[in-house]
Amino acid sequence: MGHGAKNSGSQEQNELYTRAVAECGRMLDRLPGGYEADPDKRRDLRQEIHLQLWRSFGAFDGRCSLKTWTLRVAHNTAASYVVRERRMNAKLISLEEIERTLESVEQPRDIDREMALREVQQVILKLRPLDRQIIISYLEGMDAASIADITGLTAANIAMKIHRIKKILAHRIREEQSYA
Amino acid sequence: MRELPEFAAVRAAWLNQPEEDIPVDIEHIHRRRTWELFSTTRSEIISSIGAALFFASIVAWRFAPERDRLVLFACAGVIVWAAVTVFRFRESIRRHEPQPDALARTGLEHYRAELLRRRDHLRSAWIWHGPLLLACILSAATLTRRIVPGRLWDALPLFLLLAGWAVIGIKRRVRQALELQHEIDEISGV
Repeated sequence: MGHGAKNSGSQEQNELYTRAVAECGRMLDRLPGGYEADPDKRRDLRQEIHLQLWRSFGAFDGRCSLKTWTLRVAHNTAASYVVRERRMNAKLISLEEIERTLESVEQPRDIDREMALREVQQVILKLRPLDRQIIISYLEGMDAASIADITGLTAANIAMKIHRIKKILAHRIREEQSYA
Repeated sequence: MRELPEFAAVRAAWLNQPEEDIPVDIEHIHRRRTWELFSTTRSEIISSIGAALFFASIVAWRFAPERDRLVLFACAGVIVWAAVTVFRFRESIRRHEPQPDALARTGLEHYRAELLRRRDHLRSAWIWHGPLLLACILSAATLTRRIVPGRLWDALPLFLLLAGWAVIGIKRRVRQALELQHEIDEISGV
């Protein structure tokens, strides 16, 4: 990703933004995929996230780490987008509601990664923003404590939701593989 | 926590998503105005008020020369109500950027604040939809009186249509507000 950031912000603001992009750039690239399915709108959302991120560094006060700040701003920008788009979208549901619909399926031998990505995106896009934050952060390899810093939920609550997410995704993959 | 083989594949697929090479230019983003990202709240109020004023001005333009006091009085009512709505919701209408650090709250705080804002907007729909409803009733009543003077019966289908539209709209917004309240209660208990 090219970052030709020509702007009028303070030098410190620009430096923080550059550091954040260097540290979390790829995560920021993937994150909109969990909030918008349409490629054009996803690009717009990604640009919006970068704009809000850059703006936010004008008020960075060190209340949390640079990475936590960056991911909070990115997820919150995307959550606001979901709330705005909500009247046009289908009803969003919770992890618990998806979990209740699962039936038993055999474990597959081989897993197609493209199909796995499609499945995970389909599941994420149905969820409420807070659940999306958890699932995306977990897929990015973050632990429960770091996710708790971003979301404000307790680590115990996060662990419980992660358990549900893994169960749901594993089930969806098995189900899809059994049809293939 | 033990990793299921399916989940390892899912994570690998997520992390290895193809990279999209889109340059991020802050100057360009600053100037950009994307309609899809405009506030729903703002566009709802503006389109509702705009439509009300449009209907009222058409009615006033076509029927004012006849000095129909009722029409003129109703048109004035629409304009006054629209002005009060614009004043009352001026903060929602104005395109303002949030405080720079507003998005650095935890996800829970931010999402709750967004839901509360949207719920309050839906609950006050009767205020910002009022001018449009009044203008529709005015237009329907005036047009039917002009086509068949004195025959209220002929206006009935139009009134029923408007009433049905209003009831459906109100019920939809009440349901949406209830859903949001339910979600707010859920996350407040976390």
